[in-house]
This record gives sequence, C-alpha cells and structure tokens, in this order.
Amino acid sequence: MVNKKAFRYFGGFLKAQERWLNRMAAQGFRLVRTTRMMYEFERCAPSEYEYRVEFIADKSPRQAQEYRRFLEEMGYRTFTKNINLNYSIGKIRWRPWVKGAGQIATYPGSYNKELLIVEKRKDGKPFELHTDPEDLVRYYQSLRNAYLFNGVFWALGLLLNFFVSIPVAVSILLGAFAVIFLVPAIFYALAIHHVNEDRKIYE
Amino acid sequence: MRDHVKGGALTETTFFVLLALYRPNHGYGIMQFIEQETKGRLSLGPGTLYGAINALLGKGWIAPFGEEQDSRKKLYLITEEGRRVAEKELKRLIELCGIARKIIKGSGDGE
Repeated sequence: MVNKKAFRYFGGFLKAQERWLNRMAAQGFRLVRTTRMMYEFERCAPSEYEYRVEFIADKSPRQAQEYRRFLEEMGYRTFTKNINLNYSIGKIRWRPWVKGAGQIATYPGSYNKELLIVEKRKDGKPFELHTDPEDLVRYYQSLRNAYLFNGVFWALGLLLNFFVSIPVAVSILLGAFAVIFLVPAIFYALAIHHVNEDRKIYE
Repeated sequence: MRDHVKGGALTETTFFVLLALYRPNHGYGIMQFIEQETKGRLSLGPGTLYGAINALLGKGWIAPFGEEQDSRKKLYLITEEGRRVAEKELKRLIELCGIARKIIKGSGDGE
C-alpha cells in the first residue's frame, strides 16, 4: 500500500502541528518520515497513536541525541523537525539565548532539528512530556528566550534609524519581524507567569 | 531557584525518582513505579523524568548502574548520599504529618 504524503509547514506553531498530527492519527495515519515540508504517513488503526511536538533547539547535538535515545528507550518514537524554512546547504547559527553547549548550531548537527515529534502508542494514560511545574517553566523559558532574542535583534535593527537613514519599507519590515518574534515571546512569558502563580501554592 | 532556600524540601518528582532507585531501574521502570505506587495519581512526563534524572546525576544522588552502555537500557541506582537525602526528607514529612494530624484531627474531635 502506498504511503500518504502531505505537505505542511507550521513554523513555530507547535500546538497546531501537534493537533494536525493527532488528527491524522485519529484518521488512521501514522507518521513514518518527515522532511522540511513533507510528512509521510502509513496506515494504522485509527487513534492508535498520539503525538507531542517539543522545542529542543536549546540542546546541543549531543544533548538532543541523548534525550532522543532516552525517549526511544522508553518506547516512544521520535522524529526531528525544522522550525525554519531555509534551503542553503551547510550553515552555522549562533544561538546566544542558549545556556552552555548548543550555542553554535550547525547543519548537519542541531540546525534544522529544532523540534522533536514524539509518538506514543495510546494506552489510556495521559501523555504530556513536561508534567512538573518547575520543568514546565524551564521548557517555556527556552522558548521565550529564543523568541525574545530574535525579537530584540530586529527591534535593535529599527534603532539604526537614529544613526543612518533607512528606507521606510525596510523599517516596516524590521518592525514586522520584531513583532512576529515578540508576540510569541509574550505568549510564553505569560505561560511562565501562570505556572509560577500556581507554584506559589502547589508544587 | 529561590524556592530551594526555604527548607530544602524535595519536589514530589525528585523524591519519587529517588525511591524508585532503591533498586536498579531504568527510565520506563521509574515511570511505572511512580504510577503504580500512587495508583495513577502522579504520572510523570518523559521530558520531566529526563530532566530529573540528569539533575540527580549531577548532584551525585543517583549513579549509572552496570557497565553495558550502548546495547541495553540505561540503569540507575541511588547513591549513599542519595539515601541520606531521602531519609532526611522522610523525617521532614513525618514531622509535617504529625503536626497536620494533630491540628486537623484535633479540630475534628472538638466538634
């Protein structure tokens, strides 16, 4: 039987990607392969599997590999996924928002593997990757820092206006990029705030 | 960070992972141990468990068990220091339970 292929790009919308994969699984399609924009599925029993999408760009290639191995050992299947669309070959990225190893992302390496798709065979028990509030805050912080850094980067670009004259169109573009990154940063900052509020009372 | 200054209380996750490792155990075994012992009340996410194991390895409260590295599942075991921490936590919880029982039961008796 021929596998089903679907073309999608979700970028930083982790929950949307997760919902889509779970909808596919509910219809009886199990993920077997991902490329930059393509997802390949094979037939399975409807709702046999469920998926979570996790941001792992704050991990060095070695840390990410160890984490994957740990998950696979526990019986989950994992796929890496890109968060950006970028088609040149061979690249290096500096991720100043990362703590310690992992600041330098290369391709091949940790670049284009910013996300991890985790598959679990449904067993009636809840499936969440992060359950402890402290751990959840740490996870949201890695996302917030990534977006915040990018947002501030583009916003600083706007400040160049004070020193040299920049075409209006460029300014608008810089502003748009800043907003695109700062909105998710605010979203994750609020998520952190909510967990922290609960944490004052509950563990 | 600030939370730890108060009294060194372990998080429930930390304490349960330590308890699960009084005998050699691997990730999946730890998860099952916690689910069974709490009858499903506490279900640990694999990402959280991974973070907890790494943090405890860093503290030296647990250590890898056995030599086989690549082929088999990684096993972990609590260390002497880990046992000391767990015993201290048990004492703290007993004290807390004692106080709570006195007050909650006490107020119940009066009515």
